[in-house]
Amino acid sequence: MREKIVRKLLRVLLSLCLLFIATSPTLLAQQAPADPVLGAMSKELNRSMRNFKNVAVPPYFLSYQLTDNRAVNIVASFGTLTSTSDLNTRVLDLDLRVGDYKLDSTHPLREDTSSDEMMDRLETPKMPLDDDPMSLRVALWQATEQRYRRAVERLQQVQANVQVKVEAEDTSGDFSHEEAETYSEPIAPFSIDTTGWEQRLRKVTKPFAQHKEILEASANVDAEIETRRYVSSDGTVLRMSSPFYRLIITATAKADDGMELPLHQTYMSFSERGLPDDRTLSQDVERMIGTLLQLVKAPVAEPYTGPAILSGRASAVFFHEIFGHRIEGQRQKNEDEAQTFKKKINQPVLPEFLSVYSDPTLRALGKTELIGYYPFDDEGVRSRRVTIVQNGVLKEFLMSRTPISGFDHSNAHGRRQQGYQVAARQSNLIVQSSKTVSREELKKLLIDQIKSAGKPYGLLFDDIEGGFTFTQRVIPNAFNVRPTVVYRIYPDGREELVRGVDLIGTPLTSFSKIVAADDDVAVFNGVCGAESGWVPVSASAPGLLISQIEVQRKEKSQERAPLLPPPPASMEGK
Amino acid sequence: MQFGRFKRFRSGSLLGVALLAVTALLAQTHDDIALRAMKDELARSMTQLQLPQMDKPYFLAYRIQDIEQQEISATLGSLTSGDGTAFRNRMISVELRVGDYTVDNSNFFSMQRLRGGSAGMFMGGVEQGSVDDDYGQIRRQLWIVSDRQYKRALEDLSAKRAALKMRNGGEPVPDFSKEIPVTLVQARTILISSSTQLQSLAKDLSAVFRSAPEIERSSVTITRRDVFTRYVNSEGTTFTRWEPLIKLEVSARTQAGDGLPISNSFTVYGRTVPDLPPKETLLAHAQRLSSLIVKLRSAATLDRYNGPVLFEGSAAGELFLQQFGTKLAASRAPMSDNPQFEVFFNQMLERLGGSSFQEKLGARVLPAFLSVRDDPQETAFKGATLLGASSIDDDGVKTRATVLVDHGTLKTLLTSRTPVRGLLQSSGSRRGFGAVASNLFVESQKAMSDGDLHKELLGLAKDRGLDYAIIVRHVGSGSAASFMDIAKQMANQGGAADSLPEVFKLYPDGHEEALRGVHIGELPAEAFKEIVATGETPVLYNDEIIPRISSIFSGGITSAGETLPVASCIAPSLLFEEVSLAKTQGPFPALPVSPSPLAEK
Repeated sequence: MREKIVRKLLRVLLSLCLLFIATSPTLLAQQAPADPVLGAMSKELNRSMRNFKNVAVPPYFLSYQLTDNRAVNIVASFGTLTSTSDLNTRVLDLDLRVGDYKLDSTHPLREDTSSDEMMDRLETPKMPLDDDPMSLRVALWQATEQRYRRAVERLQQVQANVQVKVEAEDTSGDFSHEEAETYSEPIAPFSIDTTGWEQRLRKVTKPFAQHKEILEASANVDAEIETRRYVSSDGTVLRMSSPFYRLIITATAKADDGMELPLHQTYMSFSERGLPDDRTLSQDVERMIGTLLQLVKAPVAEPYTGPAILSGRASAVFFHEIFGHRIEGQRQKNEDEAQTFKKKINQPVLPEFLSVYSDPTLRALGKTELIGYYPFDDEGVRSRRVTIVQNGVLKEFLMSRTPISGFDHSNAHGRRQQGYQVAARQSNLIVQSSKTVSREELKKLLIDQIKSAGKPYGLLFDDIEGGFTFTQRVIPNAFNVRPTVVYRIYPDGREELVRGVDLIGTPLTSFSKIVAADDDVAVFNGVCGAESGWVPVSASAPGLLISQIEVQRKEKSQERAPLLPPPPASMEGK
Repeated sequence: MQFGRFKRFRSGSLLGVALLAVTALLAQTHDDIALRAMKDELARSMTQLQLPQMDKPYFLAYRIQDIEQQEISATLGSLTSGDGTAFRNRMISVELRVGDYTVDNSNFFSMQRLRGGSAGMFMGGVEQGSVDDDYGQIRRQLWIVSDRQYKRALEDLSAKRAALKMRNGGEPVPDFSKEIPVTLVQARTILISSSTQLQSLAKDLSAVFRSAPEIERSSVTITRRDVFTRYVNSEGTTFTRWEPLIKLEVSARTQAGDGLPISNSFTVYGRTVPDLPPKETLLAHAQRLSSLIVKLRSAATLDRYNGPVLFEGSAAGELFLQQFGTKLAASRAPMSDNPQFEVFFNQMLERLGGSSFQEKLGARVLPAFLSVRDDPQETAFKGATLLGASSIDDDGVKTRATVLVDHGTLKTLLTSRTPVRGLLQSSGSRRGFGAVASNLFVESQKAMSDGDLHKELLGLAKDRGLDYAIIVRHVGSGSAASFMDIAKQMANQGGAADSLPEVFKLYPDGHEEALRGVHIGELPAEAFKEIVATGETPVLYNDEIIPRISSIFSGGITSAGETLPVASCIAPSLLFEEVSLAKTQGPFPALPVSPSPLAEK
């Protein structure tokens, strides 16, 4: 009863707040925000825009994004501590545009190989870490002036380039108009028990040292709090603050033939308490050791074409690599890109039972937290769920504020690592199936496929460490994902661990061969690297049965295992 | 108004308190677990590491460096980095040689496999170790790296032997010199220097520029790095060495009304915080730097000058160390399995390192009244710590004084254990990846008082019909100047040359006039033979110095993320008969549209 009242009260309060925000953005913008850093940013932004009004080529858009990051990183290996670091940084990302929304100084230069972005990054002044408004404003001023000079120069190049080259296929503008937004989160609390984790990571990595086959083993805790502040000449003022904790255990064994066999285990949470406890960790380490020792002795897989199952985790990585990167908006515009899906809007691209969403508003899927969550993207656009594929039909691309033909607005997927230029990137990619079977059922379906294709066995990809994909035109448009745990499934249902496979293929063919999905949805949390740097993303998917996949042998180290046995672990052991 | 936020020291002596030195004899050979693990694994590798029918290692060295470092920087009274604690890590490196002292896997670069003997060391011989003193883990890492390096060394040696068969001629120079084994254990002093003291120093120095809105950018950077090295090799050498270093740099830049960039900086080095000048002195330096830059914005310039130039005070050591001192070290260019590439590669290395004096042994390189000595045994000069001082070098060779130039004649060069033709032994000069100067003493037998030197300068100018002469008091652009110039050239990035930050016209009546936008046109090594006189007061100048790049292929690097060695140069003012100065040409960047926020009332 009491709880109900409290909730009701909260709801009223919340709607009041929302109302306040919705009705009085101008009021907020006029008052100097209480945050002295945001205050300095707004003040300098307004002053710059005012002073630039009188120049021949004034900027039409200016934004400052300041990212405060405290990162504690602890690494241990084989029971000993490798390093602990605790670093505060504050990085400025500045977007200054001259020209207009249609054609501006950021317009891609065709056949250009210069390194403007690199220069910008090198010359951006170091930002004061404390909140002294004056030194912050001086640094913002330096960056603005420097960027302005380069923007004016670049606009001239752009104008010449547009004249000289053939007309672009996609004539959409360079920048979209978006709503002004005001949003403020309190600075999130952050805690990390550094000494405790140092001790735990020593303990976690110690068991690896007992096995001569395991040549590398380490555990790495990364605890970060990031506070992003954003102001733009559109009138947007944002402050977001969120901690993030990640633990990665990595171990690599070497087979007698020199093949290196890596395994990874990743845990991620928005709170320190969300990381696993000691018992879970030591169980997982024992399991990793068990798998590694089996892998070392496992037979080497042969090149193979035929049916296979991708487990939920494997499907998630598969979709992130070969689907997710191809629906990033700017790739439909850049004429160096293959533009796999450019002309496929409202056409079927996947089997009818599959739908795909990109949803940065989700913090968790079931019990698993999703690392691709954010309330606003790096261009100040409010995040929302985007339907990419509905019942197999392509509906929308992931959009930043760079329009493409047919899509004039951002859908809040403009993202970047600090110091890079924004591009449309993935957030939380969710693959849903309207028709599912149990995991056992899926295996049965696989066996049916094996039999009807007359193959001696099929494959089960249980875990994948990541992969890469080429989306450009000049190189074959293929993908390569690196499975770490792969089984052969024989027609009698027997499973046999194999090693040394890479999953390869071309995207469109692979999508058309998906025949069934199971109900075992798994999440892959990771960081994804592309032109706008490394960004946290997640992908989740059910296990999938594919009627035909292709694997090749993994590139293998030619170096044999160490000549001498491991040295004694202690002086007494000699 | 903002100044009130920063606590100021009541006196400079407080800085001394920043350093609480606790001496502990950690390095006693018997008790050091790391050293014990190194010796045990070294013994095992030397006796057992061998592939059937292949060479065993003939030389193996292990090096473990415990590094503690921190960079603290500030601008306008606010920290921009280093608000936390120092970062600690340990680097492990393995130098393994197969073959023998005459021909081994080093000094070789394979074009076919894009790597080489010591390039292999460069790539693979260094690894991050554990900061825990864990016997088992240290041996485990040495085991893995030794195994990897052994296999690479065998491959490199066989490729090198094959390449050697394809060529003839020339008397071979050995690949590695034999040196006397040394045992030298230096105590480690653990420094508990407080970051907060250095943070407030950086903040307070940087706050000086708040009163100069004309200055566009300014910064103070303090880099502190303590390195404790443990080294053992298969010849019986063991050493431990503790080398702390602290560097403080204040720099500022702006533009003149015509857009000309104006920048200036000063850097001080020391082993520990008390080696730095007192805070009042540093504040006064920063203040002077600030007003000099502001004044230079409206200073005169000149179109061209060919005539006598006096490099006065620390500018003499600055010029000498960077333009002359770098040529006093020998380095070996690697051979390759592709002779055409070898020619190209060696030319490139030569350009990157500037020309060397290797072909000038026995030649006149300075006037007869000048001699140059490198002396790592000297630890102090007039109370100031000499930064090249060390009892042992990075190859584990005992250091010694070397007379490099005797009455103008080049006698020898500084060497590491990689011999070059005519210089077959090490002079104990390996610092980092190659041989470099330690403490260079430039000694003159033609010294004059400052007044006489100015008279001499004006006299030389008058002889040439000039109504003024030139004094340079700061050359600027720092350690990597020559290197950067060439790198820029190679990257085809012309840009304006760096102007001399402190250059003055001296008129016969004794008055001076500061100049802006003037740079040294050309100053070849030969110009140093035309030094006509020197001052009588030697001045100490410290700077980082880059070993000759080709050395990387001889001995590899000793640790990843290695900083450059710092050398000390003690030289009197140097009067050159002729130096060309030229006006710095544009195009210069446009001036800012808005004034600095500092200019707001």
